[in-house]
Amino acid sequence: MTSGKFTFAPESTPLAGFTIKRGIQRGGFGEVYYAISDGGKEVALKLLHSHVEIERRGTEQCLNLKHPNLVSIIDIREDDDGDTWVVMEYVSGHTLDQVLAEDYPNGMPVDEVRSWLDGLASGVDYLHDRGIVHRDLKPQNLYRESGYVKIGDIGLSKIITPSQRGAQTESIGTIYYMAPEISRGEYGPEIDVYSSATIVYELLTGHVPFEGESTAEILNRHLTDQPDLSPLPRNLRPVLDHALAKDPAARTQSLGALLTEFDDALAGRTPHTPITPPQPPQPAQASGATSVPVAQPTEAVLQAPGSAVVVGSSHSRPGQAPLRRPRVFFPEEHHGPLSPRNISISQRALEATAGMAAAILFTGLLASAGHLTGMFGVSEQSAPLRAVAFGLTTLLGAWALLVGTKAWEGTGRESLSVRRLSLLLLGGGVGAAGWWLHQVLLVDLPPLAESQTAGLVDSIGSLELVRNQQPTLAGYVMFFALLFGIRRWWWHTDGFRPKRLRVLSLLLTVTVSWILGLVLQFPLAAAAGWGLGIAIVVQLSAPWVAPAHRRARLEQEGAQHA
Amino acid sequence: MPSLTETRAMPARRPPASRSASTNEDRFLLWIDGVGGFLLLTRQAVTIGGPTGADADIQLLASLSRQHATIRRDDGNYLLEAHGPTSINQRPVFEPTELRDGAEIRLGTSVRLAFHRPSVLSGSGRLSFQSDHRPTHSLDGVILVADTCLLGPGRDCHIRCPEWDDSVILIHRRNDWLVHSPQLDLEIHGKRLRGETVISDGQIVTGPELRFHIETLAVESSNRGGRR
Repeated sequence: MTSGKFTFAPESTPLAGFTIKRGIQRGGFGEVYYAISDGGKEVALKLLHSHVEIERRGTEQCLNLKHPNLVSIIDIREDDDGDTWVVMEYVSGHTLDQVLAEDYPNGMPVDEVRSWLDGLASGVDYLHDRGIVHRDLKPQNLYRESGYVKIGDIGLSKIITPSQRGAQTESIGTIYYMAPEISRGEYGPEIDVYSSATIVYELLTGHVPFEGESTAEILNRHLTDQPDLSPLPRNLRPVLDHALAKDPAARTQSLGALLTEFDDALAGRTPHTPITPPQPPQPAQASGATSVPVAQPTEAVLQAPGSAVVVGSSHSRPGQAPLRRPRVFFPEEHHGPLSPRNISISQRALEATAGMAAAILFTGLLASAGHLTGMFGVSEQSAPLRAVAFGLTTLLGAWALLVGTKAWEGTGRESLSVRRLSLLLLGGGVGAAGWWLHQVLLVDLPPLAESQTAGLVDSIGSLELVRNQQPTLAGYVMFFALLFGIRRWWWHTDGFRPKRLRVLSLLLTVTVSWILGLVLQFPLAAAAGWGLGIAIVVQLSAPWVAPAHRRARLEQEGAQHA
Repeated sequence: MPSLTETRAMPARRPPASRSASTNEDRFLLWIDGVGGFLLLTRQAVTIGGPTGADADIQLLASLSRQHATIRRDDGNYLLEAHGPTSINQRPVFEPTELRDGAEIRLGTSVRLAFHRPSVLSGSGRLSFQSDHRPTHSLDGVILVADTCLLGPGRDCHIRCPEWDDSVILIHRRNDWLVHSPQLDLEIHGKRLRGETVISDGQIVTGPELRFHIETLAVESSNRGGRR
């Protein structure tokens, strides 16, 4: 919306019989004013600026169209200077793009989108039935008044050529909604389906499917890029994939059909007829875009792992109010860790990396808290170094666990002994690193407790576990290897663990590390500290999916799999 | 000349308490390019009613009593007096009730208005139409002007003009409208305005990407017989 400078001043009467009150909008196509007729009728007056003859012809065709969803054209007039004016019904209220910007910057609820699509489909199908293609559908042209969606600019802006688009920056708003075949000069009714689909996409997500720095870039993306459907509700992805098809012949054939597919998808029904030839599943793109074969939205739900049971899928006639999504129940045991899921390697890598980053923060907090509360000594000079050594070792342990357990999350293939053995080895590595750190930083662990005069095991063969009250390399390795091997750490890091942080699990880990300390003659304070520290950091850092969102996550992963 | 004064129908008697004795103009239309048309009301008490017979200050095409409710500015607060079925925030009101920022007013069965006081710096309030009911012409809102009316891009403006670079202040003082903008260069007839400047009826104020004017709704005895 441009307030800009308007040619005619308020209270002027360039067109006899109408008094202009204010400018409404200004663009490359012309100027629109709010005016009141001598009889008191409020109208929108459009002064045609350019391509007047073509615009005029287009408008004349539509002059007598009547439909509740179309902004009606009252008349075409010429003023004394020979300028052409289109007298239109004035529609009060916000345009769809204002509604979107003001109330729903991140997308509208599906029901709201559906109600806009309903009016849009009804009006556009009426136009198509009369042999007219709108050619310039965009949120700026859509209004809602007294509950009716109103489509504006009927019969205007007929002359859209890529060259003009390139030259006219005022039209940049339109280019976001422009079908690819327009660049080849094809103006079939399919271009309105494409524009409407981009509008629906924008309403659902808050942004258009193809954005870009320049007109050329946006045009090019319409021609070549697959839209990223991942921000859309899963059931609607095939619907918009169909309606945004590059090839007009493969596209949803009418807005009525788009609405039906929309409703079917929301209700979880398979479309009545296969609409496109089955497409081979396309590999997911780097952007995360997915393409699900159009004809199988419900199958995709059913294929979701864990043998989803679809219940409550109601069957209603097309065109009815949207139904709730089918309720899909997964048996309870599939919500937890060890449940087979189709998590992509990249997703697991992402979660591990995110967890590792978070672990830095939590370890830092933990070590600082320990230091501030005097756990590493109150006045000794070595206290800060001790905190650092403790923190770094904890961080290494947490990292090793995150990487190790994420590697097999959701696969459900390895036996438990394989998992334990891998963790045991990782633990050994962490132990060695911990020992090395303490050597390098020249810090000692707290002395052995009095009750620890003798461990159950103080040497393995000729390898001493303890020397001068301090654990040796072998001592460190043994302690961490066993700590890692005994606990089922994959429960601590799994996205589907029952709670993000389980106190019971922390207590158990502390107990295990305490017993290990006693058995291996490892200083008890350090043993319990590391057991607790690593358990807290790992659980806080590992990404967690709230139970309410797990079904959606499983569906999403199922879709990626499909 | 068409004007919203025509929305006032037959002369009718109004409760004397709701009218001041002044004969000065107190109803104005503010037309802003690209934004909308707004009714500015400067009196202390403003009546809202239906189209039949009466001359309410805000006359809606709606199934309402002639004088359905009065909104009165009293010591910096706004009080709503209901003369017909009225609720505020879903609660029916019978006594004069204070309107707070964000209050939803329901008149009769279907008219819904929202009351806002967007700026703490101004005593003025805004009524916006939530239902589809309007006066006979489409207005975008009503400003109950205590002293100033802020136009601009911010949420704290009485009238939001999202495309504007900065705000403009309209000041109502001693029956005059003055205009001022701390940041924007405003002009009337190509003459740059400095400081607070009086604008007369219908004078068009322009600025960078903006244009507006205030139209005084004449106090016509034929239309406003109750005020003679």
